[in-house]
Amino acid sequence: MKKLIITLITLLSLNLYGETEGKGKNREAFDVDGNKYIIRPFYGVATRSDIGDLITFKDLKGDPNGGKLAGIQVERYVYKNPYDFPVNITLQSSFITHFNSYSGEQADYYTNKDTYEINFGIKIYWTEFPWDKYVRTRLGVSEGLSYTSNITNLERYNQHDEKNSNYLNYIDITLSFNAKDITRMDNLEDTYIGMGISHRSGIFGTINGVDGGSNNVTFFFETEL
Amino acid sequence: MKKLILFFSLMISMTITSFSETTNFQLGLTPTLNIGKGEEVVGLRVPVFFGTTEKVTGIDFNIFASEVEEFKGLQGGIFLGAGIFNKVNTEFKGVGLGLVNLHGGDSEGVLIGATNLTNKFTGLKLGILNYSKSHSDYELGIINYSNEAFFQFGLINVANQINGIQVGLLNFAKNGVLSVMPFFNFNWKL
Repeated sequence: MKKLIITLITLLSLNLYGETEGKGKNREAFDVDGNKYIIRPFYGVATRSDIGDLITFKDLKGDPNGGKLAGIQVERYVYKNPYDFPVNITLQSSFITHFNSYSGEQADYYTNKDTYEINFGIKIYWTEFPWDKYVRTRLGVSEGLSYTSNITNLERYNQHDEKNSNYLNYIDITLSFNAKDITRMDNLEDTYIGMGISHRSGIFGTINGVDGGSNNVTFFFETEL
Repeated sequence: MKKLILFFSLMISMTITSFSETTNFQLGLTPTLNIGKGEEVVGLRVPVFFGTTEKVTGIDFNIFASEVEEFKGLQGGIFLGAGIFNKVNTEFKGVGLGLVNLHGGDSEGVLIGATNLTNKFTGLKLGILNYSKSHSDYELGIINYSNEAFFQFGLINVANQINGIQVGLLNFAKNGVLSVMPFFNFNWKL
């Protein structure tokens, strides 16, 4: 089953880089004007907080094991402003490395081995805000699949003595601001800077009985090609 | 899992022999690749990766993302019964369950999703964000925005023209009692 999931995610991810051929009158997906890709390298820190607490800035709790992560996300535009709605739709692939370190007494439970994570999902961006004439802003939310090479220390901590799973649901939330509008440098027209939340969970036990997950706060710049 | 594979194999083998314009089952793999030929599906369609077709009457069971020109029936999917992304271009009648429902034409029925983006909508929308470029009948959500609305219930309700009532923490309506009202707002000329 694991191999099937990895194969499925890999195959779907490869579609990001493909061009659609044989356009018909309704075959509009992937046929977008202008930039087609978003590249987003990021760095992040692990947190014990729930996703709701992070979104509302209510309760920010650090990971007791000081987990860090770094990764890259590649997105392919599928639709840009369809029917003039202020939204963009992309497909997203990401590769993330979690840097695990542990020096406590439960060395047989926690790990010092890095975790590699791959994700694939669909992302929707909201691109209209009242302050756009000052700084163009976009809020993105993605939903997809996630697979990790082993369980991160953060998930081991959050689900101590409970079920864990390599395969979980993936949500990525990003809020980014146009770099040209901030710096007045014309070369940064297609570049945004921002922060986000990288979330994995079992959707309250729906996936492999995992009731919980992990949240990481990320900081990034993203550029379009 | 074996039963699922067997079921899909059976459905696909049935459709391979079909060459009519209408098919009873379609597996929409990509925007240009459908297993189960025909531009009209009367029955079950399983769009996977932005599977696209002209017309569906029946059930859409969305694995990932779908696009259809006209839809009548029930749209659902693999994510807790909902599709992740459902796009309907011209006409929708029925019930739509999707994380994101995006309708470009006229819609009628019930939409349940995290984000519901519609043009002219007759019926009930239930979601975190309900957004309508034209008219909406009933909107229940955290944020409701409609050019013209009859009833909005949410934390923040925005309408250029309210024909009925808005109930929420903040209610914006250009033709309301005041253009911004806490708790409720309604058309003064009702």
